[in-house]
Parts: sequence; C-alpha cells; structure tokens
Amino acid sequence: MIGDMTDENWGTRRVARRNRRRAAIAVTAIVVSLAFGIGGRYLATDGIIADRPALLWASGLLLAGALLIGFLWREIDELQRRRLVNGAALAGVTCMALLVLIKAAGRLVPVADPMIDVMMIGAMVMVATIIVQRVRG
Amino acid sequence: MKNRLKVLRAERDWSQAELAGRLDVSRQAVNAIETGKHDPSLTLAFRIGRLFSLSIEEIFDDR
Repeated sequence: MIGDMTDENWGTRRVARRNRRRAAIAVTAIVVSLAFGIGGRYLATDGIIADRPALLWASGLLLAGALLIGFLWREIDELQRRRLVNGAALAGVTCMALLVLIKAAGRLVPVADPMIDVMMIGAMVMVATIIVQRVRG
Repeated sequence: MKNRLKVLRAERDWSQAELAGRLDVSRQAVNAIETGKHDPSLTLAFRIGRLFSLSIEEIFDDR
C-alpha cells in the first residue's frame, strides 16, 4: 500500500480494488443462494425437507448469510452502512405491521402460511429503500 | 451542512474517485458530502481535515 501511495492516482486504484472485492462478495452471495436453493430441492420429498436436514440446511444458510453480510459490512463506508440500516429498519417495521394485519385478517380470511410472504415483502422493501436512497443521492 | 470539499478537491485536480480512495470511502459518499446530502461522521471529518492539512472548521460550516 505504501508503495502505491507514492503514485498520483493511488486513491482511484484503491476505490477500484474495493469495488472488485464488493463484486466478488456479491457474486459469492448469488452462488451461495443458488447452491442452497438447488440443494434444498434435492433434500425435499414431496416438497417437504425432513426435519434434521432442514435444520442443518437452514443453519448453514444463516451462517453463510451472516458471514457474507460481515464481509460486506467491512467493505462499505459509513454512508452505505446508514442506507443499509435504514433499509433494514423499514423492512423490520413493515414486517411487524404486516404480521399484525395478517393476524387480524386471518380471523376473516384464513391464510395458510404467511411468514414466507411477509419475509419476501420485507426483503423487497429493504432493497427498494436502498435503491431509492441511492437514486436520490 | 456547507463545506469546501469540492473546491479543495478541484484545487488539487482530483476526481471524486481519487478523493474517495484517499479517504477510504465510496465515490457516492464524496458526492453526497459535496452536495450537502450527507454529514460525515466525526472520524471522517477528521480524516478529511488531515488529508487537506486543515482544521474541520476550515472545511465545514454549519451556519
């Protein structure tokens, strides 16, 4: 790094290196998601994964997710962290409100298993919040 | 918060990416600070001051 810092454009190269590391984390996240998704289908019988493999699978997915978020957290700066936290906070509040609404609506219209839908909506809210913040500068 | 970051950067003929790299932040962060859309943390403000050899008050103005 010190050798690089004598160069006039070392800052630009540092940004490029950081972007490459972030891209590598993003690609890894996609590959891991696909691997867990496809692998999960092989474990399932009639759409249901047996209890123990399901638990191992879910634990592995959570561990991989936590590791990737940890790596990403180290690579992003304070502005990007704030945007991420804003997105996560809004997603959390949305999920809480949706769960209450679905629970109340469930008395009138039975809903089979709304948790996965609520999680997906939460994830979409988080991504949308991050994109809107980024577009607005 | 107003600041002189854009002027200081221009004086040194640095791009936003170059300044971002020297501060170890993203180019988006430099842009957001320059346009007043993001107030940097105290740590980053000190880093900016050290980079330009100026005090924080000489770069940022909260009035």
